[in-house]
Amino acid sequence: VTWDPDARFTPVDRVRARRVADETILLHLDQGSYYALNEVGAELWSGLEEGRTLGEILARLLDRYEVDEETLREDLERVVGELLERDLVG
Amino acid sequence: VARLATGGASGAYRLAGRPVTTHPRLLTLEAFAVEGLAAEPPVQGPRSSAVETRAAGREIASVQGIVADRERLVTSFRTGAGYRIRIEEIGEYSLVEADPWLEIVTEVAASPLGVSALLGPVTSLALALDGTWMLHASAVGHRAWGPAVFVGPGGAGKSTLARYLASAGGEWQALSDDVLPVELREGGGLTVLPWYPQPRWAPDEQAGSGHPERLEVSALFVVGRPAGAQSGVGVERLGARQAALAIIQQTVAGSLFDDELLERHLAFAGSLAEALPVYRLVYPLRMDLLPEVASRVAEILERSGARGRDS
Repeated sequence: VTWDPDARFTPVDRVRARRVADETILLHLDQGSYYALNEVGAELWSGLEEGRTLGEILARLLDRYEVDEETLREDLERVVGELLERDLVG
Repeated sequence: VARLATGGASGAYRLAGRPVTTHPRLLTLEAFAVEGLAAEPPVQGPRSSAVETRAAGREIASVQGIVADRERLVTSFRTGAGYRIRIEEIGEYSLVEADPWLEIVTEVAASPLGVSALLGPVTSLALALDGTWMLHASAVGHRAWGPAVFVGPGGAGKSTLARYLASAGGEWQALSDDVLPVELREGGGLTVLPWYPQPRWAPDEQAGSGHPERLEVSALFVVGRPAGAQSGVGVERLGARQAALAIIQQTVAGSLFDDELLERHLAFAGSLAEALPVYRLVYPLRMDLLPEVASRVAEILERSGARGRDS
């Protein structure tokens, strides 16, 4: 996806998430498929569940992790792209 | 309580912590037979309630899976009272939830194929309704360190490893060869329930019933073959998400679950991954490596067991 700090993506109804330690497992009930999110992915998912924009999620992650903004933004773009592609968010 | 009915004389057993009756008496389950279960309260119309559900039900899943001797199409249906399972060229089983009873009714003959299907996907699904999950696992018990549980797909080498440890005698004893019921303890640990018949063991080889009904586990091993040219033994602790995914993948009948069971199963795998260290154990299938594999397993169990006792 092209970066838009005001964009919001909503977890699809038929997806269930389980936090496991600092990470998250997603289960798509219609696909019967499981997906694993690492720590940053898990934070992204929590942000999306709370209805936050990508910009807000980015800011929160920058507060929490020692990482440069551009790298983190590219990471988020890539993960959001994958979530969309697999019909996990809409 | 599961009631496994196939017509004819009945047997009474204790499997995975629950009283179970079967019709007819099944030779494979003899080591788990108990007396006095016939005195349990009779189930109200188990046959009629199960048979009524037979024609009905919403299809949940239709998947290819290894049942007994080969890959077969297995279809699960959610009925008003429970589940119906159809297994290609074996037959149909109806599970009825009639709390606190779980009844399994079938007209499939008590042939080796029928018993294999019954001990595999059918009873696994029945136990899952009750919060007990069946893992593809071989296990051996150690007197001091508790069970070594090896999960993994067929051909991964888990049976070979368990057999090797058990054959060394002494401190290790066989618990399971193929399938192993497990449940979460209150407070978060994992318990295995070795009182469960192993389809590949002869009736007089069934070892599980000779152990305590519940054994606490301090670590779990996911067994696999190396992908590349690795020539030695590799052991690594899995992160939480890999551990949870491995447990999900190695649960029997998971692909037959409906939404509610899938959610409960996901919660179980997550809790297990948080409660227990899970290791990936990778080595080429070579008999000369088994002593080293065994000593690495023993080291980890001794350490994890000690940590568990300290905490």
